[in-house]
Parts: sequence; C-alpha cells; structure tokens
Amino acid sequence: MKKENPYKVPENYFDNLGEQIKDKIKKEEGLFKDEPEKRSLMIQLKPYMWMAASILTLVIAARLILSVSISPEYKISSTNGGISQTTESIDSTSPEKDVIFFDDLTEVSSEDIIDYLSENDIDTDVLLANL
Amino acid sequence: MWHILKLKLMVSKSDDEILELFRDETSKEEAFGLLLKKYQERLYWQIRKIVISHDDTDDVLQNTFVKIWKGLGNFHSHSQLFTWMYRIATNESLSFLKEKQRKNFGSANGDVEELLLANLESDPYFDGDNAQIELQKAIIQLPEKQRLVFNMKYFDEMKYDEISAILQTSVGALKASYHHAVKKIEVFLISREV
Repeated sequence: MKKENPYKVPENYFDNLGEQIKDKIKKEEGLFKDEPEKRSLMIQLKPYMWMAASILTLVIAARLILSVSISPEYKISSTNGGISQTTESIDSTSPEKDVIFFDDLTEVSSEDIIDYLSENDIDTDVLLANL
Repeated sequence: MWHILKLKLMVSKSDDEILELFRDETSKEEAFGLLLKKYQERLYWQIRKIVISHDDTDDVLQNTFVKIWKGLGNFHSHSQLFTWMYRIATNESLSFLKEKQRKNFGSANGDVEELLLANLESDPYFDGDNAQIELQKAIIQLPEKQRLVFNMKYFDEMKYDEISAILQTSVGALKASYHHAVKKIEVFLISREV
C-alpha cells in the first residue's frame, strides 16, 4: 500500500498562516504590541513639572517668610491674579522695590503651578538658577 | 533571491537560538515568527491526522500556537522544544475532538469514529484513492492511543523515543500499541477486500 499522504491543504495555506496566527494572538490576547505607544511631551515632562512646582513653592515660601520677618511693616495686598506686586508703603526708590509678594501663591495648588509652568515654558534650570 | 536566502538563514536557526531570542523582549516577536515558520507544517500534519478535517486542523493549529506563545517564556530546555510543541498540538487535538463529541452527542463518550468518518467523507482536501480511503477508515476505527502511535510511526516515521517523549508513554507500551494497531488494520483491510 502506498504510504503517501492523501490529505491536501488549500493553495498557499502555509504562506499566510503565520500572519493569521499573529493576528489571532493580537486580537484574543493583545499580546503582540503594535508600535510602542508614543508618550506625549506633557506626560514625559510631568515629573519635571512636579519637581519645578515643588521648588517654586519652597522658594515662594522662603521669600515670604524672610520678607515678613525682615519688614513686618510691609502690607501685602492681593489681586485676583494671585500675584501681587503692589505695596502701599513703599516708594519706587526704596531698595525693597524689587521685592515680590507671593502671599496668595502659598494657597495655590501644585496642579495650578504645573499648568502655569507648562503654559509659560519655564524650565527647571531657570528656577534653580534663581534660587 | 537575497530575500529568500535571508529567510532560509533565519528559519535555519536552532531551537536554542530561537528560545534565546524569545526571552529578549526586543526580539520576542521575531523569534515567534521563526518558530512558526519552522514548525507550522509539522504541527499541522500532526493535528490533521488526529482531527482529519482541514478546517478543524486550522482552528486547532491556531489555538496550539497561541498556547505556545503563552507558554514559551516558561519553557525549560530539559525537554526538546519540538517535543513540547508536539505534545501541546496533540493535547489540543484530543481536547478539540472531545469538545466536538460533547457538542454532537451530548457527551464526551460519543462515537469519535463516527465523527472522524464524517470528517473524512466531507473534507474537500482529501485526495486519496480507494485504498488510501480504506486505510484511513481502518486507522479511524483504532482506539485513540493506537491511532496516535500508528500515525506517528507509520506516516511520520518518528522514533519510539520521540513518540515516547511526546505521548509520555513507555517505549515498550508504544511498541505494543503499534503492533496491535497494525494487526487491527490488517484485519480491517482484509475484511474490506482491499
């Protein structure tokens, strides 16, 4: 009796089989990953934003404490923008004219600071240089 | 031409090389592609001889490779890769038949011979002459283990050691199974005057 294989396969069956199997795995299990997901710039920068926000908060707090302890007569006013540069008792020639009051910023959340930083393109190096 | 040569070089990688590639996340999919190319036909024929129909074989083969993909990371080379894959293919085929029996007969104890004969007669991808059809019918009427051993020994010309590793049965028991299978097939064919 002939030992040859009487079973046949459709034409080109094996040519496409590998891709079909990979597709099946992809669909059923999601095991094959397509291109690595590209992370948005904001997501990549987020940890640095948090760091920058933390440093900024510390700087603001430190300067506020120092300014209050050195010049208790300073009267701090607030504005809707959250950052006030106006003082009532300081004239423009005063050496303290450059002092910036950050009263309301102490109540600004980290998320707001991150948003501010991302919108104004401030990077960590600049913040560190101003410490 | 170069493309074909490159493909041949890729396919000719050893199992150990493929495994090493698979364990590296960056070359995992490439390794699986090589494994597919290298073993798809051999596993296809192992499955086809058990489930008979091409369409069923296609389903089982795809499921087999899904399991291979899932399990390959945990494969340890104390056994041969092809033995491990053959075992998965064989188990998947037998499970498939049991499931089909359950669907067709309401229980896994239904008549598998009837099921396989129906597959043989309805399969458009069978091209044997009368004698070959009778031989296939004779094989189908064998008990499961004898059927597996006969196909692997007679058609695939595998060594008893290899069959033993795949079916996890002693060589002595396999030789006995094969001997019984041959006798039963002879009786069947004589009765059918082939």
